[in-house]
Amino acid sequence: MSCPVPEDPSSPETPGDEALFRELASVARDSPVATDDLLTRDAIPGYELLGEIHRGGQGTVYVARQTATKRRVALKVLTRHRGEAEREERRRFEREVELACRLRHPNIVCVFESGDAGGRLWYAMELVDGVRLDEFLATAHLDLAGRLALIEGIAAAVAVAHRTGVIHRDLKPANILVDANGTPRVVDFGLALASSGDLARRITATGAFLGTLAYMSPEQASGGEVDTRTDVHAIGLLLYEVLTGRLPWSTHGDVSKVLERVKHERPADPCALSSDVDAELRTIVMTALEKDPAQRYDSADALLRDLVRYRNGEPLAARPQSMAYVLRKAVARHRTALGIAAAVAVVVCVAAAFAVREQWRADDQRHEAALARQLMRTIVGAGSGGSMEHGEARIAALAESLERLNTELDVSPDVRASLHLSLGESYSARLLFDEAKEHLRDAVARFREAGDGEGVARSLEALAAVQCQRGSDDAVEAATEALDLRRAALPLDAVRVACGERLLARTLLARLPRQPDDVPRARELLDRAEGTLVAELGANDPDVAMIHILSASISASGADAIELYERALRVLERRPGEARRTIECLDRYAGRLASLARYDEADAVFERAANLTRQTYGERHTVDHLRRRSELERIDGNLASAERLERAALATELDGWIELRPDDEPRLGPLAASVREGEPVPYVDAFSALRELRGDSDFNLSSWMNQIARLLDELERHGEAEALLRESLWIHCRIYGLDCPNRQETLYLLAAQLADRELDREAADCLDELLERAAPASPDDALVAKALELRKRLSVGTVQAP
Amino acid sequence: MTSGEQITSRTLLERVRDPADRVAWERFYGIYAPLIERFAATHGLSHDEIEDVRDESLARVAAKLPEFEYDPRRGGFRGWLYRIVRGKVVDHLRRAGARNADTRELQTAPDPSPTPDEVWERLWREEHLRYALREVAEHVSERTYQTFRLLLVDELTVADVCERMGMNANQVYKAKARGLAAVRGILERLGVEPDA
Repeated sequence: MSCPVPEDPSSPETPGDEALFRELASVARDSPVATDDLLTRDAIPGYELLGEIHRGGQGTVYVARQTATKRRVALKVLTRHRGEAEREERRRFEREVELACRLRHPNIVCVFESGDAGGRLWYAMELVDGVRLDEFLATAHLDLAGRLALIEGIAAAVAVAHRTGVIHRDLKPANILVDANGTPRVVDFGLALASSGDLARRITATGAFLGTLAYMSPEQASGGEVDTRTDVHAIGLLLYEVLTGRLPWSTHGDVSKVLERVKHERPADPCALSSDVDAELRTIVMTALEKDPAQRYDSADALLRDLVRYRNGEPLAARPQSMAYVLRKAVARHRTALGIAAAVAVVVCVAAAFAVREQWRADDQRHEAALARQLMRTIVGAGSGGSMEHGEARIAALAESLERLNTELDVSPDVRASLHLSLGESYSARLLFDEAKEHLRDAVARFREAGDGEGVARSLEALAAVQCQRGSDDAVEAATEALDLRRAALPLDAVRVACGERLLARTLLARLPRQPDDVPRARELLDRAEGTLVAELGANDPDVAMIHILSASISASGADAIELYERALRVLERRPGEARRTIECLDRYAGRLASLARYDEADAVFERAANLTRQTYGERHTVDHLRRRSELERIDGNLASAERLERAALATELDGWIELRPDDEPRLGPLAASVREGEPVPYVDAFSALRELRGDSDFNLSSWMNQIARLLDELERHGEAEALLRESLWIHCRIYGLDCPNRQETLYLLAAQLADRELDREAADCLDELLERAAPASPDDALVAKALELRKRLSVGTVQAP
Repeated sequence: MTSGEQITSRTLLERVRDPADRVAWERFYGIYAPLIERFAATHGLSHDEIEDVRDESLARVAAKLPEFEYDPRRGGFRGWLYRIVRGKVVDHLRRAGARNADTRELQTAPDPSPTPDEVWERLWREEHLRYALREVAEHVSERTYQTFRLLLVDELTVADVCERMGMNANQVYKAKARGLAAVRGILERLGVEPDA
């Protein structure tokens, strides 16, 4: 305690002290309204009041000495109530104190006795030398385990009370003291004033207005019944707060607004607020915070048991359905940012992980539960929160999780197939076509194994869509088989069949430069699909618009094509959910205009596509857009234009970094400029700069390099292509080690390129390395097969069987 | 704001804007809720009406505080709160007036002094003094505080206090001076002039 007055006895009084003293004395006496302001030291019989500890609207807590025992206690004197309410209040109070006196637990501040002194209700309790929970948290800087231990202690206290039939009703940081040992102690069990009066009044009258409001349960906010699950909700709030450092809803604004939030607003996703929160912890918090008490844990005991299970790495008892629900919500919210394929992937993975977990629960194997938790954390992390900026990293994390789920755990073939399908779709959404292809092929095989025709068709369709980006015959084959399956399995699902027809047409059109004879067949498929879709869905459906886009691309007449594109745009542009297709339409439209030498219009349309990409995916993703356009141009054989777009993409990426890190401008500025304009193009320099900037965790980079290398090959600039591929290999080695499948793919590309230039010796070195590194157990691997075949054609050394 | 931390009117107002700062709000409530009640009581409102005025005013304060800007020309926070509370009192008088104009007429008959502004000024000061009285325990030793209370609240004579506490007169006077100095400090931080 500080003592601000000097000890000098020669200056006993400051001028005016006497007047101030008299004024204070009169104020102390005069209390016409609030009668509890000051009690004399002997106001409570049997106790001597020594000083005030805390004053709130509900009452005042004093340090007191019990005269008989000389024991120091905390004594709470409640604010006076009036009339009928008072009598009812008193009865309830007496009953509750009687119950509270029986509660004995290390985490409970115990109550000794209670009484009524001249109309003032009071009770005496253990005096705890501690600080309020919120103050403790603000200064203690606990790690996650420490914070969870606090909540476990609180839940244990409440669980004991629940077993005795006592509901706390008013759990909040002000009612939890943390003692010198760091043990949380809960105060005021069952003693909260539960007045029947107007809620807003009660809240303001407690004097802890905002705090109390925020810790209210939905049923309290709407004047409903209070039971054990009300306390569960309060513990959920405390848990949320210790995990994220904030309450799940804003307490700003007036009472009615805050109450609305308490009743209806879903808490912000705790995983997005703190990296400490993994999926299981989120399940616990969100289950405790369910608006409907029936969806919560039944009692503090149930909540406590899940907290302990979590600490021990055991599976939770919280209903998985509710978690799947939460996840679906999260995925729905982040759908645009994630891409639909990735969103689907997340849901499928989660479903799979649940299936896996259910199995473990039976086996009760802790190690696997811990592994599942880790996987779930990554998957959920990939599935929610964050911006598109981290898209690559998230997909990488997702991929890794799925790979592990797939290889380390015994999951059924259909789950495994679904995982491959989702992963393939995710890669495809990120333009990582090579990776996508691998997984989709696996998906086809697994679905065949599982006898799931629908799954086979879906995977084949996804595979065809990916392959048609490359204009391959395989795409046509896959689309044909998928269509046959659709026709055979679901002859009545006309829409599915029509979409299959459209897809087949699309794959045919993709390989048009090589097989111009397919045009009539494609046109026939498109006409039939259009007929079905217009009949089933109406002329203004986006699926019909897609047909118009494809028809336009084979229309001989420029005017007809333009009219078709415009028609498709009128349908698509009105639908915000169709951004992806709109962008494709604008891209193709721009290309057609350019081929008609209407360059200004083409640029304007391209600009629209770029703007839409920016709006939908953010500035950085115009890079993806440029790359996608470049791929299209390359497939169409417009190699110069394709390179121009790649250069623009690379320069845009560098510009983005300059914006993020202005200090690097002197270095990156000239690099970006020469990527855009310079000759020769400093590809390798640009990518090594990007590798440095984006960090070693970025695996999209090498795939981009491979894409440019392919283009440079077609432009017959083999030296540049080789340099890029070698840089790409180096990045792979740095990031993923020598065994990364991506690296093997790059090795193959390099070997093929070297072989084309008749550099057999070097090509053979690459292939040998690939074959040596390739997993011995994968003789049926498509890449290994291709590598072996190429190796045989080379006139160097011997062929090693893997 | 931990219990031992010294608050000023400015820090209290700043902190009470943060909805998570429950301690600040409770302090705030401890000073201003009784002030509002007392002010409302001087206007002949019933007990229920007084509580309504208190709750409605504080709800409005909570909602509007983020927009409050310190402007000494308009009386700072004291003037701002006064305008809110006065508005609520007037609302209730108007409602009550419509209900039973006759009886109310008598109670609100012209009363030459003091004006509501003067009442508010006086209550403002008194409530801060009460707050300082409650807070002073945190700023002096327990023994000093007990001595101070015996003199002030229990109104014992210095001789009686000497006997109760086992002190000499000089020590009692020193305790009183320390208590008063602590009260001055609390009042000054709250922007209240200690000497009337």
